[in-house]
Amino acid sequence: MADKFLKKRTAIMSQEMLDKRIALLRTFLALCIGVLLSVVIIFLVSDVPLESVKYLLIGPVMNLNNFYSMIGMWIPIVITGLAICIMFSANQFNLFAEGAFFFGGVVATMVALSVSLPAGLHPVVCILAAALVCAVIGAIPALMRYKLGASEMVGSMLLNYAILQIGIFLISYFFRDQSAGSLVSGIIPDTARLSKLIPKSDIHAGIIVAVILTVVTYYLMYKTRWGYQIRLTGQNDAFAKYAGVSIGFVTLFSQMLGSAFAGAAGAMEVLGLYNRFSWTNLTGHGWDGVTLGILAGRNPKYIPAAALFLAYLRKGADLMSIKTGMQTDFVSIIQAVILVFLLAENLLSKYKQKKTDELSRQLEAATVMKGGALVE
Amino acid sequence: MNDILRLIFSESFGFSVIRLTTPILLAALSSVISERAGIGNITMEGTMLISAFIGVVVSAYSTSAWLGFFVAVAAGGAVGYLLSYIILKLKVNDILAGLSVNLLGSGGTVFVLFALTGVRGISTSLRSGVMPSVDIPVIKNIPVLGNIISGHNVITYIAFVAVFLVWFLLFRMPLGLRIRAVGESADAAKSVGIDVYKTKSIALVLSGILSGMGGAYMSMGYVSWFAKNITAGRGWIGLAAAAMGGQNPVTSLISSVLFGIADAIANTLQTINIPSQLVLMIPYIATLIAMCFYAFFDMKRKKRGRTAGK
Repeated sequence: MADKFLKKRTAIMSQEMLDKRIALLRTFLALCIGVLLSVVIIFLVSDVPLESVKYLLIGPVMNLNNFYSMIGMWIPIVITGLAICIMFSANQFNLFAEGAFFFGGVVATMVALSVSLPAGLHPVVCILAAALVCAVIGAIPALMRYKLGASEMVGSMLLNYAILQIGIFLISYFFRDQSAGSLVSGIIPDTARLSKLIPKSDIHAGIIVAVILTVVTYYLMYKTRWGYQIRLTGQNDAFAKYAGVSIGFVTLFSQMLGSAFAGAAGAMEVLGLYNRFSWTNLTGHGWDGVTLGILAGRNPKYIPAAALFLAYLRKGADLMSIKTGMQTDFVSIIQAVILVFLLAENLLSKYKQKKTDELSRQLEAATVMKGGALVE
Repeated sequence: MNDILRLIFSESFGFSVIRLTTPILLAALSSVISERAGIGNITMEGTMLISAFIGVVVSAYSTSAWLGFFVAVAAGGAVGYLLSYIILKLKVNDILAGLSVNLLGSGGTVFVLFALTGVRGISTSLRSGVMPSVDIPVIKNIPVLGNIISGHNVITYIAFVAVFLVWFLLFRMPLGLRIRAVGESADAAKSVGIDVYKTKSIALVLSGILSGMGGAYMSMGYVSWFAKNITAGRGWIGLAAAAMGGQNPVTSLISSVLFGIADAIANTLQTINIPSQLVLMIPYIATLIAMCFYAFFDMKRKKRGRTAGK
């Protein structure tokens, strides 16, 4: 009996391993297609294709400055990626991360300019305020879904458009620097700014927060009851409900937490990189988070690596645009293509079928050899 | 306050309501068809951007507004087909597939525009065509009403006719019956010999065509250029309008007009001394609130229906 149980266990393990391997292969294939497509687009459009491709592929590691700046780009998208992991794990397509990132920056600027606190405390207060405000706003689509049955996705998109206007209104009517030519806030006091870990680079204290949040989110999602409830709700909400999970609380909690993450990321971006608030549009960090959440299969563990890929691509594209005049917007085309191939369950399905067949034949042979009959 | 009222109760306000309802209505109809086929299509925003862009480019290079319009609409249909392939053949989750298409629409258009013109974000360097406006005989001579209803862009009239066409298609034609059948239960439809893939594909292509028309209207009717993010969330508002209209073309028309009014109020208020950002916010907030109200009453009605049933 014990023997049989063991065998069954190994069989399931192998099937899981096979699934994992196929998923990995599919991810790898999708990324390759993405990179290949970038190269094709560059050759189609650029006047100096070889030069452009060079900057795209090795630009970020060509010198230390570029590398630091790439890491600077990595920080915010790790956090928005985690935010999306949390929200999408509950199967809630709340897209407020995009607006929350922007509004987090607004709130942080407002707090930084209106209260004066000692250096260590000031940024913490700004970031927590941003997280709190965004969590409250992020609850709106969650409540729309849970209390009213309306689409949280459409709600969160509308909220993104509205929050952009609210943010610009707040900055331009209450915190604008009238002497500046363009729409920017007053200068953020030094006490509120995040310290640079490496002088004169884009690497600020937010990187520590990003690493800690990755670990915390992984622990939360995979080692605690709450995380289990969130994932269970995402996989099968009817089952979760019968198992005694409070669906309303879980979905609300996950969306508020995700929005808070995105808000905090926006706050840190402003306090870490700029001396004034100068965004006049949504920044796209929330959408990058969506790409990463999917790329990482909603598992926080894989977010840093996925974010590194995207940051590398973005930095490479940036350098290319500076050096050769090639536009950076093609990255979103690449993102879209990668996502589609990544999510294509039918990609490699024949290969998977073959491998599964092989595996089950092997297992059967093993069982017969050990003298175990295939009867229950 | 009197100023505001005078602005709102004017002929030009009525005219601008119809003008602003057009893209929302087309997006809503697009959503109705795909929802009826059982697919959560959220690509209106992206498809509209792609078509708006293609319309401008083709009309500029061919110097024919009509050709630009037709190619833009065809491009919308092509996006619909692409989406159906991604969702039905590659088996990608419909929402995530939609997000990718939207990403493609927002970033891809800006990128190709730059590659073609060397200008970032706006197409004013292209001499693109504009679809003609139409004066309706007889009606244009009626006082007040004539000034509101007549003289619109031809795409606006197509949009309002499309409400009837979509209704007719869905509820009076065999194809519509098949579309609704695969939407209600794909397995049941399959068991009576309906080709599910084909039917859903057709629905998505039709849906793309309607979104494409909405996009063409934005860049070749509403204004005469393409700009980054020119649709400004109208695809999403259309989705909300379709949900409020219970996925029915005729009731979706009513909710679209409602959002058109909100849009027109925002446009009108911009001439008065109110912070422009707060005014620009109106359409989105109005849609959000309307969505909540509708969902609330819808839920109540369903609850009542359930208890009455017992």
